[in-house]
Amino acid sequence: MYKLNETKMFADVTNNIAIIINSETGIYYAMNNCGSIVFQALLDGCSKQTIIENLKKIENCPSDIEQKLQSFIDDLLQKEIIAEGEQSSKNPVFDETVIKQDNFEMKVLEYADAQEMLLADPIHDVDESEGWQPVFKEDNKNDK
Amino acid sequence: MTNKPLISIMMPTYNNGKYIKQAIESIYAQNYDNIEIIVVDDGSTDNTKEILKQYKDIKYFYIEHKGIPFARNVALENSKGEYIAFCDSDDYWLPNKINKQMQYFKDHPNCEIVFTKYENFFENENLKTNRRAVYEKKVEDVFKQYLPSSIVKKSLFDKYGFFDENFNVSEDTEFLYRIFKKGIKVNNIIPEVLYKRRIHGKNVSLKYNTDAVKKYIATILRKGVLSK
Repeated sequence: MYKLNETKMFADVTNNIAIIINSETGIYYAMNNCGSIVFQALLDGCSKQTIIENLKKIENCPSDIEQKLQSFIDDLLQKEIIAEGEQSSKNPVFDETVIKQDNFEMKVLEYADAQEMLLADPIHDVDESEGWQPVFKEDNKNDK
Repeated sequence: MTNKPLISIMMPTYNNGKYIKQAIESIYAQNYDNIEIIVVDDGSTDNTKEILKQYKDIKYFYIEHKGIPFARNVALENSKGEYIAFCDSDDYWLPNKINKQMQYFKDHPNCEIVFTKYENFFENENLKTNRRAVYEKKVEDVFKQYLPSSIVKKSLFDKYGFFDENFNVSEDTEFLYRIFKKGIKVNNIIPEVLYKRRIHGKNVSLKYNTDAVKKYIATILRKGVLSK
């Protein structure tokens, strides 16, 4: 199955919108709601078959849903967003309303309009829990 | 009486008593006579206040510790300058930084923000080898927009808003991204190192930072995508 290609990608799925940042190129990707939900299922290690079975439970699921999913996965692989990973036993629960709103279409949109910003080094002295100018922690105490 | 435009120089600080004197002195060494220095002390518990007492003309605000975007906004609210400059309290400027940037504004009347190259320097020689390599590489690639190196027309903040206090980190990136999306040119960069950024092990960057910081950046991008 699949996992995030962590060597170069960072992904965040919030409010059913996935944002993926390629920290090597500064290109970033956004997905529509349906794509984001399915993408999260892929990151969770759900199998293609499980995803398809759960999509098919939704009313008006198109007959070509398998092709749609495969095309989506191929796109993610081609963009190096995901890589081969281990399968989990997770069973995805999809928000029917959101999937139907997007007509079962899974889209990945690519943006290059913030490359300069993303490849800049504008971040200050911060810590994920303490914010600005943190107290020193174990993993970088030798840096001080 | 000078006819040069007033520049408000904001210096948010938090427990940087060890470094702040060097930062302040580098500003006074600029030979530009129409400045105001606004230090917003974000709740320091070290000797910062004592050190700053010798500088009578500095506008000093001591506030409860609320983080860098809040501190920056306090400085903005109390600034009177037509231009805003930044000097973080652990960094310092090189001579003629202001003059060169103000000359750039003069030569480029449509410019609203101008950066300089900046250079990282190391607090001591004990940084781990891998981190040193990262930052040395960044010095080579340093021709980038780093907000503290910039001078900005205050009107940009009036028009597009102050720093977003929801971003405890990356608030400068968010501001740059916001004005960039509004069509403001952010590629005015003086190709000379005029800002020195101290690396003392607490700094992070996009590729090597924590997931929390990357999540903030993703939030900024999501905001932009939704507004497209």
